[in-house]
Amino acid sequence: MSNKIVLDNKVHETDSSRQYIRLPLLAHIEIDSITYNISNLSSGGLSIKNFPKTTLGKVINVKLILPFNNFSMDLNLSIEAAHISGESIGFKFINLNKEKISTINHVISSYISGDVLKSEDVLNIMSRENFVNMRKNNKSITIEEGKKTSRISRMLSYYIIYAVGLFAALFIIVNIVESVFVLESNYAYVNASTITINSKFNGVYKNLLSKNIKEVKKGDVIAQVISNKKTMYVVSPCDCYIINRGIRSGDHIPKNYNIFTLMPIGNSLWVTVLIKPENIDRVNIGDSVFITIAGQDNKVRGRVQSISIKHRNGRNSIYMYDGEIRDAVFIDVALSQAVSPNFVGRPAKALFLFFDFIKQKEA
Amino acid sequence: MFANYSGKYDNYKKKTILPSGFLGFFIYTLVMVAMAMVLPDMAIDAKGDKIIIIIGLVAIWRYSWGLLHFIRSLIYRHIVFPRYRARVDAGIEYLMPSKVYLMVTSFRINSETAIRSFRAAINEAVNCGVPATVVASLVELADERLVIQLFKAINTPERVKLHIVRVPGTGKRDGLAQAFRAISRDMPPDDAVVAVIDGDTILLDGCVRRSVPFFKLMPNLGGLTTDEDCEVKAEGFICSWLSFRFAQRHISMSSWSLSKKLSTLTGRMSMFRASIICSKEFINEVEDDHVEHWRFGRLKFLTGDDKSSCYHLIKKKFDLLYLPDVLVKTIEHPPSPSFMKSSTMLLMRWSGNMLRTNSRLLVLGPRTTGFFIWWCLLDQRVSMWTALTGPMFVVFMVIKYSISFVYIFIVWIALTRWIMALMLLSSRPVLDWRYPFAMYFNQIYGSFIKTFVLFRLNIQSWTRQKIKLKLDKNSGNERLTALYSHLFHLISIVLFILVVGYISGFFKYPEGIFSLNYII
Repeated sequence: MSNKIVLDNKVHETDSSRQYIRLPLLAHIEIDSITYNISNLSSGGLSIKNFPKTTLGKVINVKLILPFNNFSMDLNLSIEAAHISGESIGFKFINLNKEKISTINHVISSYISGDVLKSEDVLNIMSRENFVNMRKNNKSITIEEGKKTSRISRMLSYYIIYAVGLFAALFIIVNIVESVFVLESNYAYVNASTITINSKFNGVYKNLLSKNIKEVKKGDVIAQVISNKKTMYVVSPCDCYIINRGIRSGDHIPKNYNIFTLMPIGNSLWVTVLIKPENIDRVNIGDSVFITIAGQDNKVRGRVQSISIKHRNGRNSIYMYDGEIRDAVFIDVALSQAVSPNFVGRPAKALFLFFDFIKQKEA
Repeated sequence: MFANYSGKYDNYKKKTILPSGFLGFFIYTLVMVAMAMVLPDMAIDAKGDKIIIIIGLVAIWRYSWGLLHFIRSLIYRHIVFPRYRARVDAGIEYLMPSKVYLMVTSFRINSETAIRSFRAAINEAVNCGVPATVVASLVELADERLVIQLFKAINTPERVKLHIVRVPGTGKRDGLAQAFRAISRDMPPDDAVVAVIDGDTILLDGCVRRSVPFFKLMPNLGGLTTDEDCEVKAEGFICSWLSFRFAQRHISMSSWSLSKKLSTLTGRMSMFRASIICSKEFINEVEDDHVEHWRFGRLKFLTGDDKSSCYHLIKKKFDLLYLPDVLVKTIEHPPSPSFMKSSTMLLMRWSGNMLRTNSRLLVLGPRTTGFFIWWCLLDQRVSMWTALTGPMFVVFMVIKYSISFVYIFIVWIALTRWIMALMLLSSRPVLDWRYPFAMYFNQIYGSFIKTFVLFRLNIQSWTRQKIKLKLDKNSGNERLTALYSHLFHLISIVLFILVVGYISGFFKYPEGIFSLNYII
């Protein structure tokens, strides 16, 4: 061997499993006039795909055909099934004489070198052959223990992670449960039966009540509307709460302008709740509702009194909520406790709870 | 004279004005436009705005990050690197090292591939013009015979030598370490350069001569790697997927190299200073790399030697360089005929390598790695989750509003990937209509795999040898470890769903449930 090639072996040959170069040469074998293409050929054997089933160790006599441009070379050989892997069966050559070994080696060497193979050239190549099988290494590679963080800090980390995970899972589960058993209103407001007093003509408004007065008695003169030709005296039609008086004395008001909104004392308030039409099947008359009114901390309970898809006064059912125009279902909810008349018109939030045990308890 | 560099992207044989694959991509564009024209009204509705705004915030971050890499890669390839190349070309004789080692590792590689690889390495050793040694790190006698025959068949001058190192088949790291020691025993000169080459990599003409001068040009340069193109020994979608990955690599590497740092020194072909290769610390790091994990204890690395070498160089504050105008060809043999199996195996190996080493690079801090690189490393850990936010949002929108959001999302993805495929033109003269699909598959499925591997870093395997790091599954301790891995993975998924759901408004504070106390 030339001094340009250095061999630095760190392993004994017995530890190697493949000793011969395997090449995908266009060769085939013939057994009883049936031809099989070879997928790989080496000095030690060959492999074939889609070969009929055979058993390991079976010896077969074959004719190895190596086709070249102008000639072909046929070699009668014996092969033994050495391993089966999927569709492929590997055979090893047995009882090859030196001439056949050299011939196969020469073909393979020429293929590697890219040389044109001449039929008269025969190269005698010495090779180290070792028929001892590779020692199987049954030991599994285990992970070295190495340094681990202290047990306490590790367990603490585990518990923190578990706690966070548990919280997250519960949060999701509760949300899912709520989406099934709880319905939140899209919009709600405190409602009441009211009496509105409008101006009969254009004129200047003059307030006759002090700012602090919230209640009036029937027959009280509470305001005036003065025009050039006439004066209108606003008289309270009932013992009422003053819900709305948004005008200042001296303001000029047009005809039919709403001067006062009054609610008769003794009338109860209710909450009108708007939900999406697709949720109408979930709500029934008598269902419990929990109302939160803007400006109040505590919740107020109520019951569904009526469900309608048109507004009471017959207006179109298209209403705006959440900034969008949608159809809405109107639900009137009677409150279980009194609410101050000051809250009329205030926005609210309603929650419908559909748990069976609530309905049973309510019943 | 020395071989001129040529043959870049020989895979793309047609020399036409339009890039290869243009017709398919044009049809893809037409289909995408047609889909966009029949978007439901919801796409421009208030609810549609919500999905676009929510996804858009994450998308802006992700896409702006991708755009930044793209711009940086253009700056590097068209402005910064040409200056380096001009300096190298002007003084190449002076900048060539006194010796070059071409170290090729090979184990159970298809003979045809091995022949091409070794032949190319030997030819490059001849053509580089300086004393060169081809170091073949081999396991099997068959490979030894092959290399010797090839070496003899090529008429090599006296200055070119072959050094064969036979090693036990205990893994690539051991093979590399033994070969490094063999080089060390040769007592290479101070300015020698070592190319570490995989046995399925083919060096193209002039590769060595165009690469090694950079080490003298840049005194602080520790290692470099080059552009790669693949020849896939398979058919089907895997060809497009691998081709896309290499195209994307070209852009990412160029961007990183602008900061003179890289995320990895690709094991297919990288070059190092011989003084680094021969250092005991480096050899030990490659041979016996490990991390201390709080759950798994000492994790010895089996694969990812490229990451180990890169970590070592970054730790020692060496510069790393990417050469965008030097190409090597890799022969890819997918580990399985099935695309899903192949991609899963490959992604698990790559993700595992990245995740096992990423955290220790972060620990080095931005002062050592540079702020941009450090941010990229952090992004690697975060991106596996952000990539999944889009599909998760869509799921919530579908549950809450309408299935139409799936269609809207598909059109959005088709459009954004169309743009990104066009950006890949700067990397490869190809407009493959499969690239958008490969991109999205890589993003989503890759993220799934990363999140899976993140909690199972102890599972390692080679794809070629089909050997796994065997855990003693009968051991109670190992079963408990596996159980914890599943549990932590599940917790992370739950947390992810919660965060995304909360941001999208799907989950909220459960006020209704807490109203029960009024009854109970």
